[in-house]
Amino acid sequence: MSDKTNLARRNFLSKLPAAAATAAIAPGAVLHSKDASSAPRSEPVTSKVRWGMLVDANKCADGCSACVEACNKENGLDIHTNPAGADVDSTKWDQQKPVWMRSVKLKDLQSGKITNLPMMCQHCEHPPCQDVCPTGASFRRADGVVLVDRHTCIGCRYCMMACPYKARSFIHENVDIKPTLAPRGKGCVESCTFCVHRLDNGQTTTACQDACAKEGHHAIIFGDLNDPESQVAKALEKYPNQQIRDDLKLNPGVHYTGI
Amino acid sequence: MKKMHFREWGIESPRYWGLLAILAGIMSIAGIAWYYMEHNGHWVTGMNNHVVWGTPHVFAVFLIVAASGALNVASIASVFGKKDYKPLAPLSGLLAITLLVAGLLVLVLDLGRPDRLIVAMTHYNFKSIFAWNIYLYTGFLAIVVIYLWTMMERKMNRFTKAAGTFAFVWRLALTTGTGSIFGFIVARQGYDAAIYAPMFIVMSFAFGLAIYLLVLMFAFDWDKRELGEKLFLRL
Repeated sequence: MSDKTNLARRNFLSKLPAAAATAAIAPGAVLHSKDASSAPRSEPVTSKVRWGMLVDANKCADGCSACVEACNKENGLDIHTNPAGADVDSTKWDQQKPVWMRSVKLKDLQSGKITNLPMMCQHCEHPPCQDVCPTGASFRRADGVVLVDRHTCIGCRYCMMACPYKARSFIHENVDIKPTLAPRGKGCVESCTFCVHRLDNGQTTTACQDACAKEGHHAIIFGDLNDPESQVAKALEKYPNQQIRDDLKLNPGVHYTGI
Repeated sequence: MKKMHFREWGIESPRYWGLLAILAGIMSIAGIAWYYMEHNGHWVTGMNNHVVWGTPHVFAVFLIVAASGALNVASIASVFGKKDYKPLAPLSGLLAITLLVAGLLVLVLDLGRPDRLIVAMTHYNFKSIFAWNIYLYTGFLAIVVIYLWTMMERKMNRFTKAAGTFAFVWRLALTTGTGSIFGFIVARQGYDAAIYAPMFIVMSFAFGLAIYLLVLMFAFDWDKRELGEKLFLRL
């Protein structure tokens, strides 16, 4: 038997209370400070950036749904299936399944002109969904992205009533597969996030924009509205454009041209 | 006026328990329906992303609006000092509480996440009428309980008018709040109108009183007591 004291054990015991206290009181703080240097996404977003979009309806092709499909794939909406036991009445399911981006076709009854455009969350500066949410689960980030906090959403659906763009979806059924980028569960509301997971990882495009460009239409331009050098800011300066329901003075981040 | 005596309902016990059993049966069917919806999700209700609020909201809003109206008779007695209605006042308060609890139950069970009720009670966004209503509803329950206490406990009788007046003002605020849920929905033109708050107040007077009268008629009929036309015609 050696005379040496086993210091490892003693050190372990002496550090145990501190470790236990840290684990109990401030796990978030420690994890946060360790993470701070690893990626910019641990820094809060600022209002220096305002993410926004210009949709050129003239370039939006009739019959094309590339943006909608890309959105569904990106956010796991394509793997969301009709609940077991439901009848196969597809119109019912079409109205109950979550849809973040819809393809809308408008016809001017006088001239007969047909306009196609994608419709999704317009990421308002003054979002009505945020105003009406009783728990504050609907919120607008400083960089202009309107999101739902899935931890505090109680599923009252007041935001869906308040949205002039019908942009939000309620999860009416059990969810089998929960995608990492857009985890969803029964009973909460969700909508377009401007592909916030991409933005937070330093990317500057959305899935719909990429898909539209891949099809060769280039109808969607996404970027920072506050940066005068950004493609979207330049396009907004160049083309006459409007915000849908601008009478409500919500200042949406999505602008349309050619409608 | 003679002194009031509160007595049990004068019907035979089998009838009484039978009525309770029927009501319990209805409640258990409702419980099963709720469990079915909660287990499977809202898709079983037929509500969807276009019809966002459906039948549960019709019932919930009706019951909540009727609840404040059911308090009318008590208000007539203690706020507006019509002594003839005093014996009818406790039933009025009791019905108000019952209807409000029923309405809130429907509303809570319709939430996508009723298990997160605690979140609704700890996170508030006071720009939202809903957040205000949480206080208006729970406050109404508390006030009516106190109001009932001042009516039923002789020592507290001197506070009845104060409690009744406060309850009356509160019920106007409550119905205004309920109407404002719809009145502030700017996005839907069918709702966005200032008329909703006063309209809900007027509706509450009608619905609440109607339910009160039906319950009163039923209770008197089973008890084989005459209600008298005078009271009815005045209300």
